[in-house]
Amino acid sequence: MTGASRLPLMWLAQRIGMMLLTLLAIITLTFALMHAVPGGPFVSEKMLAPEIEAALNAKFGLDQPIWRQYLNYLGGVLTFDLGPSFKYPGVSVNSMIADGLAVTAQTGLLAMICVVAVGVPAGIVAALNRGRWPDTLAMFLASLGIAVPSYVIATVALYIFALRLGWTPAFGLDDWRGYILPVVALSGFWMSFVARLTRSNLLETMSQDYIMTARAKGLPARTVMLRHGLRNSLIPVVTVLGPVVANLLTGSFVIEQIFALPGIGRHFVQSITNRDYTAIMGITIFYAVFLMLMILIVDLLYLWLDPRISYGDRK
Amino acid sequence: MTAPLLSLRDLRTEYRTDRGVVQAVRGVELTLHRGEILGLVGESGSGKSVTCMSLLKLLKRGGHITSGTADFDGVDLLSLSDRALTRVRGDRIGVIFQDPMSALNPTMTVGRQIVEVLMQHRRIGKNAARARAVELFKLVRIPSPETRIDNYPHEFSGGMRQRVMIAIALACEPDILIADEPTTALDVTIQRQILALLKELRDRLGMAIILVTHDLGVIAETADRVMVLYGGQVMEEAPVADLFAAPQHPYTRGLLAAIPDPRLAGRPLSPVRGSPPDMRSPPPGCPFAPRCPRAMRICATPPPMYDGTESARLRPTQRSRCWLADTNAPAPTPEPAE
Repeated sequence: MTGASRLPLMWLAQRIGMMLLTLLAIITLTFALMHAVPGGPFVSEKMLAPEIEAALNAKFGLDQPIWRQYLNYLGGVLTFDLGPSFKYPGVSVNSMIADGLAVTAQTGLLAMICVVAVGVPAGIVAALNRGRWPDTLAMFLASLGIAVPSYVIATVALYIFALRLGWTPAFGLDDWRGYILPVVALSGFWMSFVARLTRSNLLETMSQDYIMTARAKGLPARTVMLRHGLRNSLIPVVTVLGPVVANLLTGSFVIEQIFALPGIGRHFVQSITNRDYTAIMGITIFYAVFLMLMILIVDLLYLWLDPRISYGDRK
Repeated sequence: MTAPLLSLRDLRTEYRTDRGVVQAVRGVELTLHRGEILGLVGESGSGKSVTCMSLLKLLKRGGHITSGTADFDGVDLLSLSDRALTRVRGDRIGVIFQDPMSALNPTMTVGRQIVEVLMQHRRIGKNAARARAVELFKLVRIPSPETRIDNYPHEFSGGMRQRVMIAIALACEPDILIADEPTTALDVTIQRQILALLKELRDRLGMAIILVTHDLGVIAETADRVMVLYGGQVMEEAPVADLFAAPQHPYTRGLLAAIPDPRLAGRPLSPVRGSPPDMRSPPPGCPFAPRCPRAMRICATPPPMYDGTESARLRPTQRSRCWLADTNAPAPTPEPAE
C-alpha cells in the first residue's frame, strides 16, 4: 500500500485552514441569528425585578455592545472555553456537552456499530441472493426502516417491549436492556439506508467488466464478490458513513426525549427555548467541528479505498 | 489433421430479457486446432462474442445455454458445473476483453491481479508467483516490469493495460486464448502492436487463439482461418486467404465490398444495406435473406451448411450456409459492377 506516501500534507493543511474559516462563519452566523431572535436568557413569564435582570446581564456581559460580546466569545472559543451556561448556574457549557455526550455517545456508538455491522452485511446477503427470499426480506425490512419515522418505531417498540411484554425498561440506561430500544430506534433508518446502498452498489459493481475478468480467471464466485466486488462498492457507503457518525453521536432530540435520556440532543433543543446563548453556541460549534472532522476522515479513507484518488496535485 | 483441440457442436444460447427472449446463438459449430488462430467475424449482435463466452459460461445476467456440446480435450465444457468450470477458466482457457480500461480492477495493483490467477491454479507461493508475474510482464514486453508490477491500472496507457490483460490470460499457459475484440478500444498503431504480440506469443507458446472481431482487417492480418457469423449462425468458414480471394456467401461478399479501398477514394462506400434481424424473432430461413441482393424464394427455408465435399462450387476447406452453394442453384451471376 502506498497510502502513506500519497498522504498530502499540503492538502491537509489547506483543508484544516478551510475548516477553521468555515467554523468562523458558522460562529458568526449563529451568533447573529441568535441575537436576532427576540427574547433573552433572563426574560421569562415570571418577570424578574429590573435590577436583578440588569445585574444578571452585567454578570454575563450582556450589557456590553454586541461586537464586544462577539469578540469576548471568540476569545473564549480560542481557549476552548465555551463559557458558563446562562440558565443553569454554576454549570459550564463545556461540562454540559461532556455530560450530554457521555450519554449520547454510548447509544450513538452502539447505533453506529449496528449500522455498519448489520446494514453492510444485510446489503451483501441481499445482493448475493438477488431476487430470492433473503433479498426480498432484507429489502422489505429496509424499506420499512426508511419509511417509518424513528419516533414511530420508538413509540411502538416502547409500547410492545417495555409496556406490554416488560422485557425492557421504559426509560433510562441503568441496565443493558435499557440500551436496546433506543439503539434500535436510532439506528433503524441508517441501518436500512446503508443496507440498500450496499446492495445497489454491490450489484452495480458486479456488472462491471473487471468482475467478468475475475470470473474468467477461474476465481470462485464468492472470491469474485468479496475480493473484487465489495471494496469497489463500499466507496459510496463510506461517503455516507461520515455524516452518519456525526449525526448519531450528537444525538437525536426526539429519541432522547422518548426514552428520557439526558443526552446532548435534548440539551440543544432546551437551550434554544431557554435562549441559553452560550449553550446554543457551544453545542452548534461542537456539532460543526465533529461533522467537519468526520468528513475529513472520510476523505482520507478514500485514499486508502481508491488508489485513483489523489489530493496532491490539486491546484 | 490431428484431432481438434476444441469441437463445439450445435451451440444455442439465449438471453431472457424484459422484452422477450433473444436468440443470440442458433446452432453454431466450431472446430479449433492446436496452435491455430481462428477469427470470428460479424457485426454487433451476430453472436460472435456470445459464442466464445458460452464456452466458459461467462454469460451476462439472463443468458442461458439451451443446447450444445463443447468437446475440449475429451471433456464437454457445456456440461461442467460452475465449480468445475473454475478449474478451466484462467488455467486452460484464458480470456482477454475488449476494453482494457474497464477490464482491470481499478483498486488492485496489476501485480496482485496476476498473482491471484497464478495462486488460484498453481501450487505456488506468493514470492514465486510474483517472480512469475515479472516474467510474464517481460513476455508481453512491458518496460521495467519489476517496478510496474506494483502500479495500479490507471497508471498504464490503454495499450499497456491490454498487455497486462494478455499477461493475466497467459499466466497459466492456457491451451486456448479467447480474445474478444482485443484491439477495438485501442488506436490503430497500438492495435497493430497488440496483434503482432498475440501472433508472436502463439508462435512461442503454441496456444490456439479464438479472435473475435468486427474488423476484417484484423482478421486478414492475424487469423489462419475465419468464420463469418450473422444472426447467430455461421454463414461461411474458410482459410483466411480463401475467404478474401473467393468469398462464397453473399454476406461475406457484402462485408468485403464494404471495406473502403484507398484506390477508390472519393467514390461512395458500399455498405451492406438494411439492418440486422431482430433476434427475438429471427427470420425462419436464412437470416441474411431480407438484406441479400441475391435472395431467392428458397431462402425462406433454412439453408444447410455446405462444405467442399458436397458442393463443387466450394473449395475443399470452405463451408458456406447458402443455397447458392447447392449444385442445383442457378449459375453465379457476375459480380455487381460496384
